Amino acid sequence: MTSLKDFSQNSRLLFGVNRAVFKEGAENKSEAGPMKPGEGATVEPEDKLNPKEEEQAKNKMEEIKKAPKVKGKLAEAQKAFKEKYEQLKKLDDKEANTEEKRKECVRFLRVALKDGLEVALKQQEQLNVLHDPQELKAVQDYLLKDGLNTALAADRTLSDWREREGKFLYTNSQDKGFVDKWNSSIDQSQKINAAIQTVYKLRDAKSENPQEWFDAYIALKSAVGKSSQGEVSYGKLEGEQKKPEAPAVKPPEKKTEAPKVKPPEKKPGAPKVKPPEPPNKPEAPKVKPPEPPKKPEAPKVKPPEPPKKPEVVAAIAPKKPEAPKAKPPEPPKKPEVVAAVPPKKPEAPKAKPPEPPKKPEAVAAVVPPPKKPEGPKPGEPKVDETGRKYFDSYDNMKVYLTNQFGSDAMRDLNRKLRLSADTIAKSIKASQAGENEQVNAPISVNVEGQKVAFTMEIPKAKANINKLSSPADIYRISGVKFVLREAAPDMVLADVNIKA
Amino acid sequence: MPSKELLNRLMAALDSSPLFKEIGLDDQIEIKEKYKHSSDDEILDALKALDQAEEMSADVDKEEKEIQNEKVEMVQEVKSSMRTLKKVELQDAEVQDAQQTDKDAEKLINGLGKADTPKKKKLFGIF
Repeated sequence: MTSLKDFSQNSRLLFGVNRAVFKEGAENKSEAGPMKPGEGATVEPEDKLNPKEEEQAKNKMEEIKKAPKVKGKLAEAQKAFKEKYEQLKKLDDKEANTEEKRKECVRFLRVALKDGLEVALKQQEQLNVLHDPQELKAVQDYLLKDGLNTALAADRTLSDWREREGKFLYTNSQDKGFVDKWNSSIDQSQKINAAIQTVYKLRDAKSENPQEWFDAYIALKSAVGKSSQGEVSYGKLEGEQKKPEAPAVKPPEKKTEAPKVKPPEKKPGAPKVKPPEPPNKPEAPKVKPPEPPKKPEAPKVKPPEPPKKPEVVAAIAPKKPEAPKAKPPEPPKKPEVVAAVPPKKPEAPKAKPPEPPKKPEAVAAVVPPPKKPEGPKPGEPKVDETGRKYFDSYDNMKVYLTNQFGSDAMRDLNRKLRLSADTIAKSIKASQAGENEQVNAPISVNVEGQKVAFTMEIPKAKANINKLSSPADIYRISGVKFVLREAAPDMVLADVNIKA
Repeated sequence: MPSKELLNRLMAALDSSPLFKEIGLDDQIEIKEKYKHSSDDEILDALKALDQAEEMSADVDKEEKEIQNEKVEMVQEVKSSMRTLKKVELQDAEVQDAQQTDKDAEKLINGLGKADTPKKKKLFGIF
């Protein structure tokens, strides 16, 4: 029989063993990481359900939706769960929205730093459209009135340029830069027209979707903005630089779009070049404005252009497709030379009954182009009395740059010019006011990649700046010189239009 | 050309701005290049824009924080309500089971009660 003492010892032994086992177990557990004092506090609070819970919650929601109506406690529990779950989902959406807001901050900063604080603030304001019915109304009003007018005006500017420059389409058809420019002007017109169409669709459908209106707003702005940028390239034309400023508002006219031009494949000696198939371009029809586009003034007659640049329509193969609809088609082979006639817009005659303009389109393709008095072809610099080489137009400069340094260089220069537009405009204004002595300080424009540097010289009181009425944010600046410093130190560029 | 001090201030502000770093690298380079040739006014505008953007971003941070706090609470509430729902469903199921059992039992009892049907009576030769 086991004595009490033995039992006690045995039990102690037993307990001791057990304690040892428990101790060992505890030690083993400690390897797995028992909770230490304060450790619980480090656990991240959960701000979302784990995937399993999420799945369960979703299933429950489905069940609740499918289940027939229940009563009593179960109905209450279901209702409570449904409410909480939906609130959680709303918070998820809100959180996702903050991500968008954060992106907005970055976008705001980018625009503010690149285009100016005012522009960014304006855009920011427009973004509120999506959340504010009053703002939406304001945007709708803008789109249907000023927005459309601005877009139409921008399109007219591009069309005008094509109309004027179309005369040189043949002679420039070997110039890739010109062809690209021509084609991109058509692209821009298409974008503008597409944006206008969208606005009309929304208007006709009486859309109340803020997002659609906002998208239309952005599309219109961006299309018009692009055409404005294009103005740097398209605004200034050969032979035009000494003209007085362009009339503020041109009478609106209907035009069909010009055809896109393929890069030339003409051989050097070829006597005749095929015109770039004018009418086959599938162009979106122009849309009518909601109300007839504002005509601020009666169709202004363009002042007679000084015969500075009697740009001759050489073998005008590229017949302008923008010819007014009302006009009867001209006989295609009318051998008419328009050597000394300054290029006139075909639509201008509306306002000038007495003097029908010469029609460059009528010139037969076989007529050799009269020589330009200026001598140099596009892309070739002129030489002044002091022996300095210079360009008489920005387009010339473009062609030169494109040939010499590639189109990237030209694009880069354009970009830099746009970036500097505010500075240029301010400097010129200061110059006119005679208050800024620094206007002669050069503004460098580095063309990256090609390492070409320009100095922009703004001679005090000689430079001039005029805001073109359409598009409104384009300045025509004259008297500013761009001196190509490194590659060709004596190059001088005269005039340029700059988006400001 | 901008004053050197102002330009340095802007460049430092840009470099230290987390928002500016989110702008694409090309844009960063372009912007910095632009301001090297800008006027003092433009640089001041840029500094203002930077402040404004940081302020907007801080607002967004604050809002996000609030939402996250709300979410933490809400997650707990959803979990709790889901647990409650499960419990109630279980109870409901038990009740239904019990009811069904009762029904079955009743049916059985009724069935037994009907043992003295004519058929059964016939079977047992009553009458």
